[in-house]
Amino acid sequence: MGFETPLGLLALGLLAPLAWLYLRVREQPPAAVSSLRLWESIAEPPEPRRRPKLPLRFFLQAALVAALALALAQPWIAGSPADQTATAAPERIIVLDNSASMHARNGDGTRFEQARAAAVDRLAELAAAGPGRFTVLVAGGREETLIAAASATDARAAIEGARAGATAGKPGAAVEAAAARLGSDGSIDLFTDTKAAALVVSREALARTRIHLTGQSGSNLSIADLGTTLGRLGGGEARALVTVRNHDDVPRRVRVVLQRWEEPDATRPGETGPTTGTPAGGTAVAAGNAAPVTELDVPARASARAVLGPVGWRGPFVVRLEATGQGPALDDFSLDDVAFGVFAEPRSFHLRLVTQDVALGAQARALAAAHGGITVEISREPDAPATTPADVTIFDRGVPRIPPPGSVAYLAPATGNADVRLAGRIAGARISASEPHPVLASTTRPEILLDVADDPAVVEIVPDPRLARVLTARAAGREIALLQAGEIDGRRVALSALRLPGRTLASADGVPALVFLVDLLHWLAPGATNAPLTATAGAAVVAKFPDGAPIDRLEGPTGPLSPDAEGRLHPDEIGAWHAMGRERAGLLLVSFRDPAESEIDGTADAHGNGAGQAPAAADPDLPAGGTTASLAPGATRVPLTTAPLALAAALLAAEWLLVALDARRSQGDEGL
Amino acid sequence: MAALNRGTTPGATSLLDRVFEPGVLSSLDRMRLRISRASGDRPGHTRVRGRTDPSGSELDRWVPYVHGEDLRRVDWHVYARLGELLVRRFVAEREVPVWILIDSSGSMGPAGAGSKLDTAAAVAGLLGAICLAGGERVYLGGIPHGARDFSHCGPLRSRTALGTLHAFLGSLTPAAGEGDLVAAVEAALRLTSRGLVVLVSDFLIDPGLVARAADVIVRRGCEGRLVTVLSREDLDPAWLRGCDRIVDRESGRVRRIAPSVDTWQRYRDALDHQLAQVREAATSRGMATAFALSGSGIETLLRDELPKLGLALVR
Repeated sequence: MGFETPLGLLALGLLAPLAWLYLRVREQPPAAVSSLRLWESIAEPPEPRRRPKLPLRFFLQAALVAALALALAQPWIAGSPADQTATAAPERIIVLDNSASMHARNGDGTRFEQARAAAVDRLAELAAAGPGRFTVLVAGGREETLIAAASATDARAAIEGARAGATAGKPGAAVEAAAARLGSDGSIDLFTDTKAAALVVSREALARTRIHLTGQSGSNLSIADLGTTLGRLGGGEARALVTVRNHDDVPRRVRVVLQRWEEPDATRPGETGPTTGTPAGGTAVAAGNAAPVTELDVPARASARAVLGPVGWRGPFVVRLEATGQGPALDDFSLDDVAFGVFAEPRSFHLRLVTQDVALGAQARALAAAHGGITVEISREPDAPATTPADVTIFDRGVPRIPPPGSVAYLAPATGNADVRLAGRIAGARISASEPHPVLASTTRPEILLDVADDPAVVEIVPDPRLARVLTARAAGREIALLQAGEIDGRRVALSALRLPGRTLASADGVPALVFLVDLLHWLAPGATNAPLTATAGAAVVAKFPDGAPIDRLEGPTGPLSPDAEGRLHPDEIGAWHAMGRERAGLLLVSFRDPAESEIDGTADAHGNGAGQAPAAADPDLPAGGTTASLAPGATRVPLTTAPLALAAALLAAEWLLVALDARRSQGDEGL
Repeated sequence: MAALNRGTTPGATSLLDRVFEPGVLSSLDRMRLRISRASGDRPGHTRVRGRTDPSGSELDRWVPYVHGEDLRRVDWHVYARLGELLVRRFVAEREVPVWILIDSSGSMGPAGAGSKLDTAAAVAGLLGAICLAGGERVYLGGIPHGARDFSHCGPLRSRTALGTLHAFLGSLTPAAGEGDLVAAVEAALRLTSRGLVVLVSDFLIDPGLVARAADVIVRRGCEGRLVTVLSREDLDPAWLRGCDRIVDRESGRVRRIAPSVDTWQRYRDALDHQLAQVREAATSRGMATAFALSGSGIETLLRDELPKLGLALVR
């Protein structure tokens, strides 16, 4: 038996003052009398023999002090060989960096393949050195323990089964987690492409870590951004805007190819068709005759943008970077050479316009004809039944007694109902404030709407707390709401105090009002519920379709994925994932986009840093294999700290109990 | 007398201050302290029995004319009737020096309203005010540790000296050590003879010392009065229940006791014996004694105890 910190036994010295506190003579101060003259005639009683009398509480407190001193000294006993293998074998932790940059090609294989092979070799080396418990961690977007405190054989299987992901890596966090798990013995081996100087890790953890670097250079071009341009309301021609980043020190020329993405059957995952070079299931087909290919010159360490299109179709597509000519491969990192996008389908909906303004009806029909996919029904009576259930209803002055289903807009309402309440009419209104809102997305000067309305007095609508106040005017010394928009019971509702006269819309002066009408329709139009979803690998995706229907699971390149406790999905592989819900199924296209991971030439300096932390400095004095002192065979110590601590806690509880009993007894005496 | 009927409230106005309230002082004007044989050398208002003067207001006796006497003193009416030359002698009227010695030793403490020292000072104040009203010459003294520490005040004459009397009594505080009664009496009577000496103390000392002090008073031809002041704690030691040690306020000596009913009873017996010895030492030398309990009211003192010293109402 021995002590890890024998100085802790000095705490036993506290026993001396404790004993003094109990043994010191505590006498009641004598009472003062006028004179001892009379008392001298009375015999003085004999001096009582004072025997040290120590209460039970003293012995409890002394035992408490002794137990705490023992715990401070951290006693241990020599363990048997059986104990060594069972509990005291040092833990060997292997951390594999499986971030996206480990996909980079390095010689014959990828960095991750080489790291995995090196880890297997290191595992064999450690297993040969002595008994140990092996733990394997991967340091992707979230550190994950593949296997814990297992045998070398199981650890090897875990390493060989690991794969690189498509997310940013946090090797520093994984090393910290490993160091926290590690006891006083053991070691950490990190296999990564990040230099020690770039790791965000404490000095203590770094001192116990042996870093195995695999590949730190390479050539790369990446798709830094992908956007689309569509016509108003989704109609017209579509184009893809591709931003390409050159991570090399020399200018590069690259071919950018846009291909339409088709799913054989989105509702039947696992039955995807043959691929044509795309990273995941699905089929990339030629994009038609709209010149979807272009070549782009990208300066060194800079970006350039390519515009692909126009195309006349709608739907998902994939953009790929390819080498020009028949030369070698484009670069060493292919993950960021592919990106998914969607040309959204034009929105089709049924519009019911209730107005007595013939010109306004004509304008609405013309607008629908120009857009396509919109059917228009003109009605004169607000309470007349609709021939077809309308997705969007616009009431020009007339107001129905019962609000219709679907999205609705009231223009200068003459009466009120459950959606709108009127306070009267007011003249001399002037715009005083406007808030950003999609219905004013293209309206830069809202005052023009007031002029277009050409009405000396506007309707004063009572502000509805359920709606956002978009336009506010000042009249008669008070604020009035000119335009309100928001959702009531799942319906989009817009209340406008302004009219949109049809004859004005037909003139050149009415263009702002026409733009406003288009924005209003755009906002009121129902969402395209079956449009594919897009996401970035590693980012959290809310497990809902655009219309709010829940997504129960994802099925894709790495198998099924379920939402986490917060209702979020974390697809970590690029490609097409199938979102499966109770009500419907859809497509989730996951692209890779991470400038830090794409910087594979300087990976060691670029990633692994957490926000707000400075990289830990590498200690040049560290030994090559960073592990701390290991135990000689047979010298295992079995710590005994828990027992004295438990004893101290029990003694403390006993003392409290004793004090409580004394207090109760004292109260009883006072009561008597 | 309404002012006299108020009781003493501990912690409130001290008994001494109440003595010097105008209502109390006016009551004292009608009181006199009877003095039997003490007298001074200066003419005064106190008639001294057994001592005659050629002039005065109260005729004492006739004596035969002696050659050399003033012929104007001859009572010619007696000579006409009897044919003898007789001279009238009147009762001597003198100013009596009154010494009031107050024990301010530690045993009279602790200081404060209602304490033994406050009661002793009040007794001294009452007697002093009465004597000043009677035209006597009043001296005050604190019983010191020894003759060298003897502090005194006087002579005080007439009511104009009431302020000085009050101030001196109010300045008395319990001393740290034991008082020396004999030394105080000797120091006082070194200056005076044939006066009145009033000792105010708890007399919780050796009765032999009280007897020695009384002997000094007698030897100097003075009258003596003793006022014993005790506290309720002195009378009944039951308040010491639970205490096994006591300390002497004067000497600081500590003594162990057995806190029991038997002990209290034995103490009371010892106290009765002590008081009896003090009384014996006084009465055997012709001295009157009185007893004052600390915290008693002024009315109680004037009505019950101080008359034992010769206090009486006039008119």
